[in-house]
Amino acid sequence: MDGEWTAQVIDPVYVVARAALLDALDALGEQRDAVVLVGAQAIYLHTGDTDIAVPAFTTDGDLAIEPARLKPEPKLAKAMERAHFRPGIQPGSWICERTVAGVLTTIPVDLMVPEALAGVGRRAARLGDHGARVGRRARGLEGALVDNSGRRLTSLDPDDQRAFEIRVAGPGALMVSKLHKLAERSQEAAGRRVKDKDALDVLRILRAISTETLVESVRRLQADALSAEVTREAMTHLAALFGSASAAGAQMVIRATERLEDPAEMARSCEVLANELLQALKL
Amino acid sequence: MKEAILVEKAFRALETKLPRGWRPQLRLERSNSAPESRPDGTIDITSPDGVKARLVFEAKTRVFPRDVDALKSRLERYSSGPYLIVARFLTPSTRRRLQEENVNYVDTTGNVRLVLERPGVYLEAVGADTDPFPADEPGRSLRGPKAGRIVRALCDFPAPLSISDLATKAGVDVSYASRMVEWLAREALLTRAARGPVESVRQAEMVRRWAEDYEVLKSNDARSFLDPRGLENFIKRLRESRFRYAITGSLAAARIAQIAPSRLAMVYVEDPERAGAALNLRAAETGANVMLLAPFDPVVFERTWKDGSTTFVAPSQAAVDLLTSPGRAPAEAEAILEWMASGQRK
Repeated sequence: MDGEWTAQVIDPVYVVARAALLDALDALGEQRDAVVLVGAQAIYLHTGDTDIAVPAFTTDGDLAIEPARLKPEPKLAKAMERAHFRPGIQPGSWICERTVAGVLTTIPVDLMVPEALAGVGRRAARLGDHGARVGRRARGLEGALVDNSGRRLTSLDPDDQRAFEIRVAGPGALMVSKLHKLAERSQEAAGRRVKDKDALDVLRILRAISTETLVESVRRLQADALSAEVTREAMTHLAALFGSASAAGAQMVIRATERLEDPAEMARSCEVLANELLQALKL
Repeated sequence: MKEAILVEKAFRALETKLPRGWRPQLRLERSNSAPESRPDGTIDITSPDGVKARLVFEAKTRVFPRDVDALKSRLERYSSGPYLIVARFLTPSTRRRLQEENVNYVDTTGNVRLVLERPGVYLEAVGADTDPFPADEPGRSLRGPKAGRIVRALCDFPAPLSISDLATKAGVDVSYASRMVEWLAREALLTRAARGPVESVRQAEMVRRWAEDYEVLKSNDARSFLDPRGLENFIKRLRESRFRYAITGSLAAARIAQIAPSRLAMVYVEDPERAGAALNLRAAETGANVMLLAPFDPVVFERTWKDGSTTFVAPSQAAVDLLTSPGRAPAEAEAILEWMASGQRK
């Protein structure tokens, strides 16, 4: 009966976004050893559909770059262009257009460098010979380099047989980076860029991953000098954004599931699960 | 109460319910020589503009739903209508039957239904819902665990069913089963051979009648919980649990009829507090997605069925639980009742 509980309908945009990500990974060749999959696509690999009436869906492919593992060749920019991506407005943003169900859709793949390893600069990451606009600095991604595991990333299209062995960030690291993203954005003017979906992705992790597994993952991040600081901050964000049903993150989840889920149930779930994790971490 | 007094009282009840300007006129017909050849009487109803209708009536101290057919055909022998039944008291189930047959009625407590084409009138008034003159009859209610077990047995086991067999299956003594069957037969919810076994059961009607005396959230001890990880996680943990449980409500309905499952799980367990703790649920006043019910009777755990490794209550139980649940649940119950009526079986 398992399969019947959730309708496994995959959004066609998500299928195309995965294909574009595979194109990028294909072109990156040997540089694949230097990247870790992060963001929504990594989260859904861990969580599946999580029994929430809003289907898992994203257009973005997010890759964290570990500068120390980068090889001189192929050059990152060349590789991305070979896969038909062009630079977006922001550093590190690479975009391509794909047709989804007859509609031309912009699919971005972001190359990001954890701030602690990105050198000096405001937005762009210094990546030596690879250039200054290839990657973007991102605070909170440090954990992805500490807590990850190798996985086989396949296409969502049964006719596409490609698959790549790639490191995927662990659930703790993914939650830490989402919490940083939410905290940064909620401070921006009128929270305009705040995406409610990011808050829902945090709830997906809290729901699908057992508290024991999350505790293990977060402890690994706390123990490593590279990620300890951002992890401590993220746990503060977790308490502030999800620690009560009326907190900003819980309210974003309500908006993201509007008319599809019971708002009280969603908000209380955030509160219960966030506090369960914080208590287990003795924070 | 003598019949003439009964008619007099009922007539007065009708008189007070009629709109201003309408006049009723009563005429009793008594023929001792051939009582079957004439109706008990007629009532003329005259509208303010002088249009008159003549209703033929039969008067009875009590009328049971199963009597309605015979009464109607007797009235049909006297005239082509309109017809009226006069009684001391009419139960809701009898009134429903009369309405189905398009027979007007009036009782001495003020229950009135009068629908005439000429002069045009549509009058419905409610008097007492319970009999103010209860006779020493058994049954008359499906309240309580014993009655619930009888209903469940009648719906779950195929007829014919002897009274002693029914008593054994429902876990009640034979005299109780016999009195209940007698009453349910008068309520036209089942048929039985004279002093013999139950021959057929109107299952859907039986469950609807049960729902008048049963309420899922009151008859059982219901507690609300939240599974913060969602229903899918809840069902998975329930399947792995070691205690006795049976899923009812929408989730059960969705396994029988084409219904989108609701996002509230209703589950019978022996001890909701302990089960809630074992399943890692949180007590929740608002935002609940799980309702655990300590059952009115262990019968809820009988005749359950499995889908994979998940246990569901019998359709008859799911139907009565849904009929008495809030929201769109009663509509889901109708789908199960239809399925029961169509005689399908899982």
